[in-house]
Amino acid sequence: MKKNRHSLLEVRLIYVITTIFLVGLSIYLFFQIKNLIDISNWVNHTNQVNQSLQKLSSSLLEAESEHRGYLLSGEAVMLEKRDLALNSLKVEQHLLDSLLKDNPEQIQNLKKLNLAIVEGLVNIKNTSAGKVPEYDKVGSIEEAKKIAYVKHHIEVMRKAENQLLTLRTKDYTQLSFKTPFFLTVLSVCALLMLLVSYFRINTELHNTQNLQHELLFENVEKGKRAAELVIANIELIYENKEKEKRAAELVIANNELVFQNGEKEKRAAELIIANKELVFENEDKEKRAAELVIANVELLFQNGEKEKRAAELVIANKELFFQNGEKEKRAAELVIANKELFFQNGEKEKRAAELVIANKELFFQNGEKEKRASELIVANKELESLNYISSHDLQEPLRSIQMFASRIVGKDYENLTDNGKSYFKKMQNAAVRMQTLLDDLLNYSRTNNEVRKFKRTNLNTIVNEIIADLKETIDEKQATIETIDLPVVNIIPFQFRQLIHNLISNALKFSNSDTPPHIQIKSNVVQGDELESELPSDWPEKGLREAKYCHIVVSDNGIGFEPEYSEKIFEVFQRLHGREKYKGTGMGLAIVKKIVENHNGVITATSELNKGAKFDIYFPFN
Amino acid sequence: MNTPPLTIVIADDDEDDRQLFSEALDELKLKTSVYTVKDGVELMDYLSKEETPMPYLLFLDLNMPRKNGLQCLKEIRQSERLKEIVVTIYSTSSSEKDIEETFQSGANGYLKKPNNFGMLKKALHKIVMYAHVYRDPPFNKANFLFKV
Repeated sequence: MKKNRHSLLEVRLIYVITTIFLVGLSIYLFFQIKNLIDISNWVNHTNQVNQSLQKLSSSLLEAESEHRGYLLSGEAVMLEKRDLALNSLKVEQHLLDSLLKDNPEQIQNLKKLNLAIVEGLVNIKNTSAGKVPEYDKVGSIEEAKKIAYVKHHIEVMRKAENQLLTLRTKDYTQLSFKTPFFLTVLSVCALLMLLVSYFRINTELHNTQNLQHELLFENVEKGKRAAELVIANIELIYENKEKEKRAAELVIANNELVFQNGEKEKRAAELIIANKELVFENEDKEKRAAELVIANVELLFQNGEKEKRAAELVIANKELFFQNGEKEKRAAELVIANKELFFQNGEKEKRAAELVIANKELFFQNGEKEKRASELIVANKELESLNYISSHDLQEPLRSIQMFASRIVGKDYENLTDNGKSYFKKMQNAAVRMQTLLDDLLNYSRTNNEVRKFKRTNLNTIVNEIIADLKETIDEKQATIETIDLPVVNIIPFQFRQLIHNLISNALKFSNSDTPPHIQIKSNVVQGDELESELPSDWPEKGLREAKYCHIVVSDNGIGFEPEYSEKIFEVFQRLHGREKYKGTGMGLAIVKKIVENHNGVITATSELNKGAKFDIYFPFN
Repeated sequence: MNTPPLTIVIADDDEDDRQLFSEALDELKLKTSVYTVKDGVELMDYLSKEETPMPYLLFLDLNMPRKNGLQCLKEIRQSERLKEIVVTIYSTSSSEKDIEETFQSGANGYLKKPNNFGMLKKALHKIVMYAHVYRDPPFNKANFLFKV
C-alpha cells in the first residue's frame, strides 16, 4: 500500500514537472513565433518603405521630365501629366510619413527630403498653362541641382532602409532557423513525457488490477468467513440454549439429589434400626443351630432304617429276574402270531385283486349306465315333444266340440228337452275341464321346451304384476299380500312369473273361510353350507358350500295340509281335495317345481293341517 | 253402395274351422266373400294366379300339411306382388314363441282360435273393421295381437 502511494506521488510529480516544462516551452515558443512574425513584418515594412521611396523618386523624375517637356513644347497635356505625377508624389510622401512614424532617424531624413522636394519643385509647381516661361539655362541648372539634391536624400533614406533590411533579414533567418528547432524539441519532449507517463501508468494499472483481484478474493474469503461465523454463531446460540436447558436440568437433578440425600439419611437411620434387629435374629439362629444338632442325631437313625429297606429291594430284584423269563416265553408266542398275520396278509392281497376285477366290472356297468342315461335323455325329450304335440293336437277337436256346442246354445238350445239341456250343460263342463287340463299340460311341457333366457329382474315388479292380475280375487277374499326385501335376481322372467302366480293363487284358493288370507313373500341370501340340514339329499347343487343362494319364502295362513303330503303335492295331477270343493287340475305345483328346477333350484313345502303352508325356494343367487 | 264385396281368404286344414269361420263371417253381414283353401300349397297356387284378385284379408293357420302357415307367410312377404296383403295368423297355439316368430316374419295380426262362436264373431268383426289400419306400416305389436 505504501509503495502504491509512493508511486502515485511519483506519477503526480512527473506530471507536474512535465506540465510545467511543456508550458514553459510553449510560452517560449509562442514568443519566438511572435518575434518571427514581428521581424517578418518589419522586413516587409522596410521593403514597403523602399518601394515607396522608389515610387517617390520615379514620380519626381516624371514630374520634372513632363515639366521640361511642357517647357519645350508648350503642350498643356504635359502639364496635366506633370500634375498627375505631382499628385502621386504627394501620396507617396503621405505614405512614407505614416510608414516611418516609429523610426526617428528616418523621420529626420524624411523631413529633410520633404524640404528638398518643396524647394526642388517650386518652379515646376508654379508653372501653369497659358504662359510658357522662357528657357532659362541657369535656372535649369539650378533646378537640376535641386532635383539631384532630392535624389541624394532619397538615396540616403534608401541606404538607411537597406541597412535596416539587412539587419532584419539576418534576424529573421536566425529566428526562422531557431523556431522549427524549438518546435521539434518541444514535440520530442512531449512525446517522451507521454511515453514515460504511459509506461508508468500502465505498470500502475497492472499493479492496481492485481491488487483489485487480491481484494476481491479477500472479500469473498471474508464473506465465507462471515457466513461461517453466522453459522457458528447460530450453533453457539443453540449450544447456549442447550447448556441453559442442561443447567435447568442440573438444578432439578441437584434438587433431586438433595431430596435423595435426605432419603438416604432416613434409610441410614432405618438401617441402624434394622441392624439392631439382625443382632437379635442372630441370637435366635444360634438357638436354632442347637436344635439342628438334635435333628441330625435323628437323621442318623433314619439312615439305618434305609439300609434295611435296601436289603428288601435286593429280594424284589430277584423276583423281577424271574418275571423276565416269563416275558421271553410270551415273545416266542408273538412270533407265532406274526406268522399267522403274514398268512392273513396274503389272503387280503387276493381279495384286493378280486376287488380290482370287481372295479373293472363296475366301470363297465357305469359305462352302460351312462349309455342308458343318454338314452333316457333322448327318450325324455321325445316324450316331452310328444306331450307338447299331443296336448296341442288334442286341443283342436276339443275346440271343435266347444265351438259347435256354443253354436247349439246360440241357435238350437230351445229345441232340447230339459233333460237334454242338463246333459248338454254337463257335456260342456266336461269339455271345459278337458280344456284346462290340456292347457296346464301344455304349460308344464312348455316350461321344459322353451328357450331359457336368464335376465336380471326385480322380483318386486313380478309380484306387483301378479297382484294386479289377481286383483279381483284378492279384493273378493279381502286378502293382504306382504313383501319383504325382494331382490333383483337372475331368472327366466316369464317362468318365474308363472311360479309366483301359481303359489299366490294357490294360497288364495286354499284359504280359511273364516279368516281373510294373509300371504307373506320374503327373501334373503344364504351361504351354501347353511343349507346342509334343511334340504333333500338328491339336490345336485347341494355340494356347493361356498356358493350363495337366494332363498324365497312364500307363506300363508290358509288350510295347509298334512305333513305326509309335503312331497306328493309337487307331482303331476295330484290333488288333495275333491273337485267340487276346490277347482283345479293338480298341475299348478308340478309346474312350480319344474320351473324351480329350471333355475337349478329346489323347493320344499312345510305345513300342518289348518296351520297355513310355507314354501321355501332356493336357487343360485347369480 | 254397389262396391264389390271384400275378399277374405282363409287357409286351414280343419274342415270344422273353415265352416265355423265362414258362418261367423256370414252372420256379421259385412259384405264380404270368403274363399277357403285346405293347405299352404293350395293357398300359394291360388294367390299366384294372375286372375286372382288381391284379397282384402288373409287368415292363415300355422299347423297345416304340405306347407305350413309360417312358410306361406315368408313367401308372401318376399313376393313383390303379394307382400302388401294384410295377414292375420289364425291358430290354436297361444305360445309366445309362435307369436314372436310370426310377428318377426311379417304377420299383421294374431288371432288365437276361440272356444266360443260368439267370441269368434266379435274378433272377426274387429279385425275386418280395422284391417286397413294394419295395411300401412309401421304396425306395432300393441295392435298386432287379436287374442280375444
